[in-house]
Amino acid sequence: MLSDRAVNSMPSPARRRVQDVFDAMKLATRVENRKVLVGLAPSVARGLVLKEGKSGEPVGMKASHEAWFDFRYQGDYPEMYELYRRAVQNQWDGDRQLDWSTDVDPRSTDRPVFPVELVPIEGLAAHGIRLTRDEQMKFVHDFSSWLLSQFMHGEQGALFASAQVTESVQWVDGKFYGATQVMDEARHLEVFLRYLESKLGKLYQVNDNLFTILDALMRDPRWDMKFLGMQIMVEGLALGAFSMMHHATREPLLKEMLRYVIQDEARHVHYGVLALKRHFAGLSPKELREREDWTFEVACLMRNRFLAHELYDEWFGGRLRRADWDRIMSESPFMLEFRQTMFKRLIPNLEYIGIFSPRIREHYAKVGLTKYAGGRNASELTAEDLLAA
Amino acid sequence: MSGIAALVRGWFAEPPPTFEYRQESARWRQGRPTQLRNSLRVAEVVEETPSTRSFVLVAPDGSAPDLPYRAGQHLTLLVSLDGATHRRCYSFSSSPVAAGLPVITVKRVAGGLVSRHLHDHVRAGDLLTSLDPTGDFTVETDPATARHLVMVAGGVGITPLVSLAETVLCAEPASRVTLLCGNRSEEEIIFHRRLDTLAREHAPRLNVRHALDEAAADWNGLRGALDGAQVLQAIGTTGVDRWFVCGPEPMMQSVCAALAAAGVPRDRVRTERFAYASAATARIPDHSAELHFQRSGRRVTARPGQTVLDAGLEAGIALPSSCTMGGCGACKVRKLSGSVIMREPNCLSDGEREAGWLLACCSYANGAVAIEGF
Repeated sequence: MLSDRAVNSMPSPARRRVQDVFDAMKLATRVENRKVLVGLAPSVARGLVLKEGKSGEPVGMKASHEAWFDFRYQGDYPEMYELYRRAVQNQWDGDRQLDWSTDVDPRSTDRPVFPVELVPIEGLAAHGIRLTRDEQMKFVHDFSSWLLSQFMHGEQGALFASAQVTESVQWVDGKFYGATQVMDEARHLEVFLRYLESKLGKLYQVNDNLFTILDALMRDPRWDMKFLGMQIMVEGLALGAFSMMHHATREPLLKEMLRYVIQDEARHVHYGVLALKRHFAGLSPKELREREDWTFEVACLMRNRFLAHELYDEWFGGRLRRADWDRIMSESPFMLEFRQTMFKRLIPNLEYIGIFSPRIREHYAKVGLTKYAGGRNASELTAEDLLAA
Repeated sequence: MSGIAALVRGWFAEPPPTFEYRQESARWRQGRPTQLRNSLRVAEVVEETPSTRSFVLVAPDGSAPDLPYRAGQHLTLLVSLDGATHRRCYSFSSSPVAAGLPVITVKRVAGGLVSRHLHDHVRAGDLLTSLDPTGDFTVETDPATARHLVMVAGGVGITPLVSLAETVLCAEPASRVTLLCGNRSEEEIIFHRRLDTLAREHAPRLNVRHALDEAAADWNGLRGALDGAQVLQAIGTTGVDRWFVCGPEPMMQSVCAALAAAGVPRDRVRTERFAYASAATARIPDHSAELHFQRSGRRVTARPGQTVLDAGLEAGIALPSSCTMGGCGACKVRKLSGSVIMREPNCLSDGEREAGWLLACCSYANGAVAIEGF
C-alpha cells in the first residue's frame, strides 16, 4: 500500500483518484459477506472508481426486472388498498401549498437553514482549520446545499425505483399504491430541486456511495430486493435525514416542505413493511439469510460512508488529509444525530418484517445497533409521531 | 484498452467542481401569483414611550429604500418565529413628503407575539421582510386647497395621523390641521416632542391638543378619556372639512356616533381600525360554494373553510392581499351578489360594508357569490 506521505506528494487530481481507489478497496474489505460483496462490486466500481455519477452526462442503469400483470383483479391486500386511498386523499401541490415567496438567506444566523452547531466546526478547529464567522456561515450554506442535493438525488432514485416496484409487485392493490408513490417521489424531486435552485442557488453532484446504492438497486432483478433496498433502507435513511433536518432548521419554507415530505415518506416505509412482511413469511431459510446479510452490509455502508467528500474536495482538499476529514465528519454532531434517527426507525422495521434473526442480531450487536431493537415499527407509527420524534 | 488509457489520463486531469451554481428556473414561476417582498434593514430603533418604539428603515445596503408609500398607509411585516411566518401591519409614522427615511411605529402589546419580538429582539442592523405598503387611510393633497382637517388619535392611533398631518402641512400651505390626542398619562404621549416641533414649525396652522385619562394636578390640557363628547366640546364641528379617526374601537365608535349625531356627513369621516379578525368570531360555512369572478368569467369552488382569497389564489386569480388577517384592507373586493360570513373584528368600515365590500382574506362564501372585477 502507498504511504500517506507518498499519496500526499502526488498532484491533486491523481491524489484524489488514488484516494478513491483506496476508498473502494476499504469498502471491499469492510463488507464481510462475500456474496453481498460480489453483488455490489459492479456498482462499487461504477460509483467509487469510475465515478459515473459525476460524469456530467445522463447515466444509464440497465434494469432487468420482470413486470407482472394481473388480469384477475382480485381484492388481494386490503391494508395496502387502504394505504392507497390514504395516499390519494393526501396528495399535495408543492407549487400552491408552499410559500415560495419566502425570502431565504442561506447564511442567516437568525433563521438558519441548518444550525451551525451541527456542522463539524470544532472538529476542524482541532485540526488547525479555524473558520471565521463569515466562513462558518458560508460553510453552513454549502453544507445545507450538499445535504439537500443528496436528498434530491435520492428522490430521483426513489422515483425510478418506485416505478420499477410498481411493475414488479404482484398484488393489484400494491400497484394502485405504487402509482401514488411514483407521484409522491416526482413531487419530492420537484420541491427539492426548486428549493436548491431558487433559495440556495447551488447544487452538488451525487455522492459516490449514494450512487453505488442506487445503481445496485436499479439493476437488481429481484423485486423484493428493490423493495428492501428502496422502501426500507433508502426511504428509512431519507426519513431519518428529513426528520433530523425538520427539527434542526429554523427556515420556515424548508420546515414546511419537509413536513409534507415526511408525511409521504412515512407512508412509503409503511408500504414497504406491509409488502415484505407477507412476502418474507413465504421465503426459505436460505433466502431469508441472504436478505439479512445484504441488509446488514447495506446498513453498515449507509452508516459509515456518507462523509461529504464533495464538500471536502471543495473546501479542504489541500489543507486536510481525507482520513482526518472522514473522522471529523463521522464524529460530527450531524452524523451522530443522523445515525441515531435513522437506526431508531430502521431496526424495528427489520424486526417486524422478519430479517432480524438471532444470527444477524449478533452482527448488529458488534456495530452497536441492537440498542434500537424493540422500538415501534412503521406500521405502528403515524406521520405525527415522526414529526414529533 | 482505450477506456483504460482514458481513465489513466483522467487521473492527471483536474476534475470538474463537485457543485454547480444555479439560477432559479423559469418553470417555477408559472404557479400562483406571488407578492413582491421587500428586504429592509433597521437603521435605528427609537424609544418613543416605554411601550412604543419606532423603527427607521433603510435598504439592506444602508441606502434609502425603494419603498414608495403614501401618508396613512402601513407596512405588512412578515416575521418568522418558531418556524411560522406571522404577518402584522404597522402604520408609517413618517411623512413621505418630508425629508427623512420611512419609519414605522409599533406599540408593544401584552401577549402580542410579533410586537414583543420587535421590541425585545430587533435592533439596528437587523433585516426585516415586508410586503409593499398598502392601505387607503390616505389623503389626496392639493397645494391650491385651503381646508381644515381634524384628526382624532387614541394612543398608538397617532401613528398614521402624524404622517397625514405632516404631509398635509407640507403639501398644502393654506390648510390647517387640528390634532387631538388621547393617552392614559403624560409619559405615554407618543411623538410628544415631534408634535411640539411640528406645531412650532407650522404655527399657526397646526393645533395640537392632548387629553389624558390620568392627568397630574398641574396638567393644563384636556382631562378625561377622549370620546365623542370630549371631541365635540373641544373642537365642535363648525368649519371642519374632514375628520380622520384612529384609535381603540370604543373611542372610535364613540367619536363616529357623536359626529353622526352632530350632523357630520359619513363621507367626511375617515377611520382606520387596528383590528385582526379571529376565526372564533364567525360561524364558518361547512359547505362548498361557487365564486364567480365577473371580469374573467371564472367560476371557482371554495371548499368548506376556505376563504374567498385562498380559493381565488388557488385558481390562479391575482387577488391582492397583504396582512391576510383582516387588518389592512388590501384584499378588499366588492360583492355583486350572494352572501359571505366574515371573521370579525376587521378593518372594514360600516360604509364599506353597506356598499358591498368584503375582505377576501377573512370571508367565507355562504352560497354562490359574485365578485366585481378580476
